[in-house]
Amino acid sequence: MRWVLLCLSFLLTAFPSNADAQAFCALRDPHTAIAELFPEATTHRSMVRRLGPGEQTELRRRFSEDLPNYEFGEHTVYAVFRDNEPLGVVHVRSEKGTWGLLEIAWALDLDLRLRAFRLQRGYEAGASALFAGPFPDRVAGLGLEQLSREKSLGLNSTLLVDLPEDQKVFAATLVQAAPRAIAATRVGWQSDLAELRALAQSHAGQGDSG
Amino acid sequence: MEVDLSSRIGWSTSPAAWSNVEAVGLDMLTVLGSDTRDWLRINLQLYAVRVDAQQSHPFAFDGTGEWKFQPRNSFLDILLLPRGVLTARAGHFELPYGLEAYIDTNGTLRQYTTGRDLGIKTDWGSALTGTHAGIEWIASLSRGSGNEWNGSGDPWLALGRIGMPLDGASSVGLTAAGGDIRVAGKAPPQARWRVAVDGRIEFLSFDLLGELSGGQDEGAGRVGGVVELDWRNRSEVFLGYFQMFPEWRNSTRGAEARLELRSGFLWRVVRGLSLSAEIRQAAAAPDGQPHSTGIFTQIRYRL
Repeated sequence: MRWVLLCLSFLLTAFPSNADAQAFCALRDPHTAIAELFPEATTHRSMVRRLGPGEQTELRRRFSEDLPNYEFGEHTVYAVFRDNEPLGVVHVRSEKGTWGLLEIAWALDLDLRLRAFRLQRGYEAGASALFAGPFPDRVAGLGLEQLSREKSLGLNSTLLVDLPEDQKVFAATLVQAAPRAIAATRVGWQSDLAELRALAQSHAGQGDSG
Repeated sequence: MEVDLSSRIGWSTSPAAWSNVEAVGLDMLTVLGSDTRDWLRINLQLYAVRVDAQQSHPFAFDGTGEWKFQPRNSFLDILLLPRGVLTARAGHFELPYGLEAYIDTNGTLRQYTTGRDLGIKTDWGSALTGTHAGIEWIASLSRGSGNEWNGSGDPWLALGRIGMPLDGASSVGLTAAGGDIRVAGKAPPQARWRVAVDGRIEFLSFDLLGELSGGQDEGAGRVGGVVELDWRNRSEVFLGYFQMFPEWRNSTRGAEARLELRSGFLWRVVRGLSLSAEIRQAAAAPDGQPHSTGIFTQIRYRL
């Protein structure tokens, strides 16, 4: 027991709190999702941040989005690079689906416009057809404001027009979830995003001068 | 960093006895890297566990109620190549045998077959692991002594697994393992080997999981496995499951067949707090052995 106490004392003092995380979910990096969403990427970096009551208040006040209490805790957003150039981020979030939780990997550019998405876990009817159809292209490039506007239209969203009925439910879930994912990324990873943008600018500057 | 507290109470008819397991631990993950990539992942799950049992109990414990150190998943990952292509691991880790490679059974009532097949569930050692083009693989060489490093009799365990990642609605995997393993209640180390094929398919709110393994314990043949059907509600606050563990083995008494049925649930009451219970029934047992029944409950809180 003395050895255990010594170890615990060391750990409590040696590691910064913002680097901690829930072990199990965080252990599995979404390698497949990153490869699919950013095929040109060469590396990625974990950015672990704690979301809590402060972020919940900010999300509600600034973006009318919610962060349920059960989501309080450590979350990881992955910064994706091609060589040393930042390309964007991947944020994997859980959303309630028809039959259970859906794990959706969102790919965002550095201005937090939606680039692509992937259903990482969960079953939803019509998902494969939806991904193969026009819907991914319709939402690609949309930012928080546009997606929030579409979200407020519910099933009348222009993004859902002409979609077959069996795809509409999942598409509506995605339209509801996308602004929340972007807003949560913006609130929780503000400083990381600023650093990534600065890095991208410096990289672009090097390219121009070269 | 999270603090994890749990208390488990169990009762079994064979032999009729109560058991208590208390655990308190710290669970943390730290990722270190450069500006553009992760290099090092430190995973620490340091627990103190106390077992009061008049019935069978984990190997490292003698059932007398003494608190013991249990490192669970405590290891270092060096990310040799980016994008998960090649990672080196060293420390004490859960053996990725069969379905346990997918599902977190650390400190939970719901278990699969690693303990039954290999005699240990975690081990000290090192591994290489990687993921590429939709395939995950791991090759490990470990001490073969389970929770304790100081295994007498030079135990060892080699394990290899290849399979699909957890992503997607279905997956399959193949595991092979063998070595001289310090198995609970058996000394010296026992020669064991296993080959197991496992799969899972997800449909609506249900998961169907299965694993079939075959091998030998000290030269005696053994075939076993598990089939599980589980159901979760929409918010996944509640999980219910039913498991069947069939087993056929050759022993000095001849061929023996066993079948154990388990049914249980896990209910995440509020954030951090979960309740679970499981009933275990031996539906088939060799002649002269009792068809025992066990009931187990657990309360767990992660701060």
